[in-house]
Amino acid sequence: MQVIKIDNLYKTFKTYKRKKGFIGSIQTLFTKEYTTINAVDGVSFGIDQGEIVGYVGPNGAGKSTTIKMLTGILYPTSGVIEVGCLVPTKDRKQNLMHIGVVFGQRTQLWWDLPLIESFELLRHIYRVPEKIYRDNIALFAELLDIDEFINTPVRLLSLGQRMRGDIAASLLHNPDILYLDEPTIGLDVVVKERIRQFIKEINIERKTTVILTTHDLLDIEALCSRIMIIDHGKVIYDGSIDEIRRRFGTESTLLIDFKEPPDQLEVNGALEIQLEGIRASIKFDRKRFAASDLISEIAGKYPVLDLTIEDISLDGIIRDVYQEGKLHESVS
Amino acid sequence: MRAYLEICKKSFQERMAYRGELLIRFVGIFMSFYLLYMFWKALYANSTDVQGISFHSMITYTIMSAIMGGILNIFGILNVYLAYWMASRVRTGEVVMDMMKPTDFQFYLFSHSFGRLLFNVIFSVPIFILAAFIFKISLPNSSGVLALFLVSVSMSYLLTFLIDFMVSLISFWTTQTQGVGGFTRLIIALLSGAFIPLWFFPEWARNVLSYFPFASIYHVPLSIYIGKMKSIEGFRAISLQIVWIGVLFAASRLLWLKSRRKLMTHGG
Repeated sequence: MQVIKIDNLYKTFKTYKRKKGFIGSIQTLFTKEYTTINAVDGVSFGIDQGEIVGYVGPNGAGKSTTIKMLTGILYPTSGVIEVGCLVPTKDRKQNLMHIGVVFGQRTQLWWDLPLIESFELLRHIYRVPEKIYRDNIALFAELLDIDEFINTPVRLLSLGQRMRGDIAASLLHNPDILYLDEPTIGLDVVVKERIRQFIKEINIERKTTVILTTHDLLDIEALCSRIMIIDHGKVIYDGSIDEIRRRFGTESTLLIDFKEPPDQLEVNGALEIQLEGIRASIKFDRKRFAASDLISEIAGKYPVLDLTIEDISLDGIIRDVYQEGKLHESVS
Repeated sequence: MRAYLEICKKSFQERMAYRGELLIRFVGIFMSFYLLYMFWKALYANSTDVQGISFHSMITYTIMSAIMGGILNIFGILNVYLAYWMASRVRTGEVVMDMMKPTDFQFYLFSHSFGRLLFNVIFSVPIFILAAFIFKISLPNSSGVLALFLVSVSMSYLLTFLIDFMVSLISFWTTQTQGVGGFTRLIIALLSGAFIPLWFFPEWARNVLSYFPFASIYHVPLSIYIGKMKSIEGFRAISLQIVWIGVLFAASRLLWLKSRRKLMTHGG
């Protein structure tokens, strides 16, 4: 069952053109020139109940704008959004009752009050029954250790504690859909891992649909079966992570240490060769050349000390996809 | 309803978080009272009575006005608190978190503001007692006058909130409201009778101004308090306050519906 349907969604922002420098800033006062930015440029997708979808893209790609439209606080310029049969901007309150939102760079917690006070407030705002509220607090205490700092004013919490508090806050009312916008930004590996475990657990236990934007692709690898890549407001990839690996992840790097630095290195089938002292890194396409062929060719010509093969990381793949996306655009 | 009550409670508790700062505010407030006292003392140097108002009544009016200013505008005399708060939240994008609650945004902010109001009222009790002692402020003539004053002050609060709310919505369109906030502050300061009672204005100006919502904020309750505005006149003025509240409430709803479409938040 599809819980989120987006069809041909557009959001354009108008901003006044600003000129540089002091004189420029005065000129800006008197101009009416503005540029339009297509923050979201014809996006369509559907998400099934219980899916965890990774929504990735470079800074300014339109991820947060999409999420803000899904929550109903931003109005689409055109296009259709349906969240659980509701139109977010029309049925704003009803929609908000059924979703949880975390913006990693902001907080919905009351800065000057102990964490528990924010939870108490949310309990009343979302009209969470006493029992569900207590069970949830106990669950979050167990999985996120929030009981360690629940009585501390939020402004005194570390970033990792605050983020755990924010995630717990977004789930107090058992939402059907959880939007996580960079929930692991700036966190250490231990906290990151813990948050990933927690999201997974919630997803399995409650069938909560999760949309996750992040720049840390380890989050995606740990959690998502499906990934959507957006750039310049357009979805440039929508599919499984395995598929993306098959399509783009064929580039490998062969690292070789030689006994003595070779004057010149020529390898058949190499995409790119970098030579620094005795170490060479050779990029090649695994689909077209077997590593063993490459190695025997090199070992036949030069004295080899040591070698390793590195597969391209998901990071690298996504970078390639971004670049390919730009390529498409410059052509069109 | 319960949710709004809780917001109000939390907002009150939030104010309590910075107790250390209160003492400094306390001192500052009395320094400003003393300045006001000296100002009017100089103006009354050669007369005991100006426009039928004794020096004593004038001091009562002006100190009560300052105390009211502290209560209504949260950070001291005539600061447009809400507009300032909202502009900073729109600029940083935090406003998104407030709008993302399944509550009515205007009532959410009202509850927030009301919690602060309650705190300020309590904070003002010792200020009032001490000021009454030092500057010989008199109490209203009768409990009826006191009741009328309290009703009128409550209306002043609603008016202040509505004006503040509308000014703060401008930040949805312009991102920054300090200019507009400063302008509103100036207008309210001049036209509301907060500093200079309206009876010092020329008659035509007084007549015009008394119909504006600004005069309803300070001039009406304070004139009732010192006994310059008697019962019938007081009732009429309070009715006008209520009319203005209705008009401004309707206007603010309209403006809110328009403004929410204007929200622009980039990044994060």
